[in-house]
Amino acid sequence: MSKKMIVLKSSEGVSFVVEEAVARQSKIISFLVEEFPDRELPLTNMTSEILRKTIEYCKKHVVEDDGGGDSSSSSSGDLKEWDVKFVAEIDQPRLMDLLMAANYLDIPSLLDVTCQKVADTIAACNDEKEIRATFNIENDFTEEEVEAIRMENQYPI
Amino acid sequence: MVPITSERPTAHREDVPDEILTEILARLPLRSISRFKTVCRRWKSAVESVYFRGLFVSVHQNSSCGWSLVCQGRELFNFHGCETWGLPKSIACYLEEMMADDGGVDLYLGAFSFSGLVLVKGANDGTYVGNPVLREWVVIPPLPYRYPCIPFGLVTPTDDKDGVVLGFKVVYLAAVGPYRDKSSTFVSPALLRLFF
Repeated sequence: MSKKMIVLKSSEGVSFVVEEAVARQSKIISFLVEEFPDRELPLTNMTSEILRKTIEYCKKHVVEDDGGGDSSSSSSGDLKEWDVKFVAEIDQPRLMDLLMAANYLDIPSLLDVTCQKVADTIAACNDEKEIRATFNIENDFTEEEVEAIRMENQYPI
Repeated sequence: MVPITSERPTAHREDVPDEILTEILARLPLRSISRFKTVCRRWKSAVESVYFRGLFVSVHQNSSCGWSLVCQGRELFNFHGCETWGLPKSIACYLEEMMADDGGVDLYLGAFSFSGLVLVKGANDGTYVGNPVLREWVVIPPLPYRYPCIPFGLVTPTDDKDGVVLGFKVVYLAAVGPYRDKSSTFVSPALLRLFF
């Protein structure tokens, strides 16, 4: 029996043919597939690159979920390792894109993995300047305000 | 958390929603939280939100209990339900550092509570309650009591639901005269801020 396939279309108009079981890890796609069967699903806010990454993640996870069997504990350990490697290979801007994709498509496990990676990246920063540089955040405080916040966190002894 | 400048025109970049930002920040160890406040306004308000507190407590729920007694730079006794609160070293070490900064203190007591607040008596007879990691402190005014009293312990009632500190009580031990515990209550709105 051939597996049911669905088509996802990126913001550049590139079509990705994906097994339904793979795509259904996204709660949004799962819902859309039921509402609009046999339709191409346009994901206008996702680039091909990010969509490809998201599908790669879902494929890996659907395979592991199916073939777990008796070795489920070791396979879930392997899967965790794979997840860590998966996000480690992505650069910062794309990691944020992937996180947004996980949020948009509602894929809780991918959102969890990407959030943790971002948290780890923040934790590795030495100070707020490094955090701003890493995430390209504009400092919207005046120097006086920063000083005031620092004073608040000072101890009086 | 973003905006991230994009070199790819097709990419549609959006800011990470507030709840996701909060979700990320709540995963970080306690020690780095005060650092986030100076990143930008959005991060500051995320860290100060009630939603953050609730999330933080639930993420770190296995690491929120412990207290220790520190005397003359040594941790005499400790009970860390969580060992280090996700900190790189024992929380007593933070007290030691703080006291070292003070230029040497001969005696102090540290009492921890569930909330991470500590009670400290400095050499200058000042009594403080605060958070050693965030370095936020309030001075406890002297008791209107004619016998010398030693600040002995700290009690912090917390909200059962989300673990937010509702206030605190400093328990004093009367050093002279009739031996009895003297309890003084200071429920200060500033303290709610101390928690994070």
